[in-house]
Amino acid sequence: MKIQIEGWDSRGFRCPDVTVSLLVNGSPGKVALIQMPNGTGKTTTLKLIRASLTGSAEKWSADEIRELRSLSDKSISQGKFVLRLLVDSKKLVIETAVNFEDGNVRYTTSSPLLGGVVEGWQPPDQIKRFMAEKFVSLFIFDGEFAADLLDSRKAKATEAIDTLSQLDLFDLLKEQADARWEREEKNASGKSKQFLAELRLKEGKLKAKLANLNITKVENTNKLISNRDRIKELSKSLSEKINENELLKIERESLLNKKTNAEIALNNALDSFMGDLRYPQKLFEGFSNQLHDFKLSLDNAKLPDTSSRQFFIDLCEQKICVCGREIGVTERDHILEHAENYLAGDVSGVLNAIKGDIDLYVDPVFKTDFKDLRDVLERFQEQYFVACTDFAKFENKAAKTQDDEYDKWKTEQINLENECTEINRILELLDAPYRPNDDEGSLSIKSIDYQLRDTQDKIAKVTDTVDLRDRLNILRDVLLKAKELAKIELHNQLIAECNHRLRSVLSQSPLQIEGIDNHIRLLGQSSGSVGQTLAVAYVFLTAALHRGSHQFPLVVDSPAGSLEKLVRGEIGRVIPELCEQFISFIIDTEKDGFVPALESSAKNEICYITIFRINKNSERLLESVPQNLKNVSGDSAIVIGKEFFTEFTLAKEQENV
Amino acid sequence: MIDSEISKAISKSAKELDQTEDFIKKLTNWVNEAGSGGITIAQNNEFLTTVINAISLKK
Repeated sequence: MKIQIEGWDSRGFRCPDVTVSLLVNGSPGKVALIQMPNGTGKTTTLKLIRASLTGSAEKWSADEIRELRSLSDKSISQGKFVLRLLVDSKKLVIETAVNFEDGNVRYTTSSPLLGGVVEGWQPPDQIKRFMAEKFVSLFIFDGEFAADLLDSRKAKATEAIDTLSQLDLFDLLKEQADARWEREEKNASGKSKQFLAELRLKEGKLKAKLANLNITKVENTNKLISNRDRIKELSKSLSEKINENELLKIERESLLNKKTNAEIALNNALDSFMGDLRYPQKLFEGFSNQLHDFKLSLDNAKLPDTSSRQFFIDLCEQKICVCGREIGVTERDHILEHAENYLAGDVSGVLNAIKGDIDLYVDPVFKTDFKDLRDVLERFQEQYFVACTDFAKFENKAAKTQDDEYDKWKTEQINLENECTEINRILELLDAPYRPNDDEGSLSIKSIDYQLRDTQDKIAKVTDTVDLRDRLNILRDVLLKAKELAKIELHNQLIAECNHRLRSVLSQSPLQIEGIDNHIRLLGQSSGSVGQTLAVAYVFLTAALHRGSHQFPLVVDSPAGSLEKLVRGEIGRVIPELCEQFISFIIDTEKDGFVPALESSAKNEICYITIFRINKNSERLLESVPQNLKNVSGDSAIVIGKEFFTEFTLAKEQENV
Repeated sequence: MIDSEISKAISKSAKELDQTEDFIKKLTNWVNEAGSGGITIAQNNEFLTTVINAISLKK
């Protein structure tokens, strides 16, 4: 699937009344640079493009619609925005007509794929999936979205991968499987209607509960990640404040070292203690002695090395006994009956193995004692406690020398730590294993999932749909597992690819991605500068867009505003290689460094457009433009061509006054 | 076509759950069709039925 934007017409809105064509030699150019000074209506144009692609204008309020009315002509009652697209080279036109008076929106869609013109927002089925708001926001994005990708409070990075790589297909298919089960079991009838009704009621409740618990888990996990990031930031800021005073800095470092060393020593002691706990005979003298006594009693019992029961069974096969007497029927029956009293081969083997292990693992003389080990552990605990207390005392002392901002940060840090403790408690409950006595009130996801499956199994038995149930369970398990596997691999590959690109894009200020857990996590730092963030977002999104089998236009507002000149150059060179169509709304101050790099990479496939309001200053600029390259409508003008695009600056406008 | 990692993951997880190559082929086909967009509810149901029938149950 390839979606491209050919252009648009806009009439009656806050943005200029213009017809914009992004065609170069008859087809959409690889790069379209649309220069619009601030205040010309960039935001409105982007809003209208987004609304055309997603159908979201139907949700606008009357006030929201009225705010889009042309500023130059307040009497205008209607606005019309027509977006022209190409879907796999076939035309698709979406018209958004608004009535500013009554606040209504009406869509019309036309395409050969639809057989002509249809009322409403009705893109063909094959692209509807890609016109969901969450999908469109990935290829029409701004600086805010770029920041969201690195924000731990938002899960935009994971969402982007799921959407672009179509990992959400697994959920879609799982929904289909669930719907099939619901349909089949609803239509099936059971032997006991009341029992079945009760089971279905229970199934419904458990399903709703499971969904709620999963949402709670996601929310709490995200909150925990975000809190931890903030706590790290606050710790850094707090220590920076203290480090401003050299004496406090030295004392702090010394106490922090003591605390860290005590923590390491305690952890080592704990590891060693846990290892010793695996050998209770070494810890408890009574236990060791009892094992010895047990072994002695086995020795006294003189267990045979091999099976003794088998000896008597084999003996019955003989005519003459080992004592020399004849074995008749009576004797044979007697021997066989009493052979059961002797040890069989497996039991004798186990007892001999126990004897051997007691010899191997239990020292004849008891050496250590649990109390000694506990004392050692307690000593390390005490040392750690003292180190923590000393550090806390120091922090209190240091806090008294600090300003209000320090107190504010400290309070925030304590509150967040308390919040984290509570979140961890909730997550522990949510992750608890299933216990047989659990009921519907349990907060364990595993438990509710187990109860749900159990209830569905019962429904399947009552309604004779066991076979379908078993098959759907397998399908669901395959889908869940496949999604996890694909997600891990895609994340790893994307991280490697992004880091490779970031090494060249941010060669002057290296930055690497450490991981993607909901958000993009940077290596060794919690956030980057605005420019770094934008660069990471570009690299990430273009890499993700490039991976997918579908091609979308990448539309960006202010693509280079916050980037340093060197980074602009690197980004500008990379973008045309990574997407099929790059449409950029740019202001004159962003051109330096960015546009030449784009030109070098996109060669001749660039469409240059300048849109601006006509005023006394810009009228003169327009005079020199050939008629066939300009179009004036009302108070605005659009000029096509590289020369005007390059020359146009706000400063020039001023100079011409 | 869906991302190659998705196909690999389907194959791996299906094999871990003792499913046949036929099942893997049919499920991958369904994911591919659904991923290309624009399959109807009826077509989805057909794909699902084909996949369900290809599942092998452990006896």
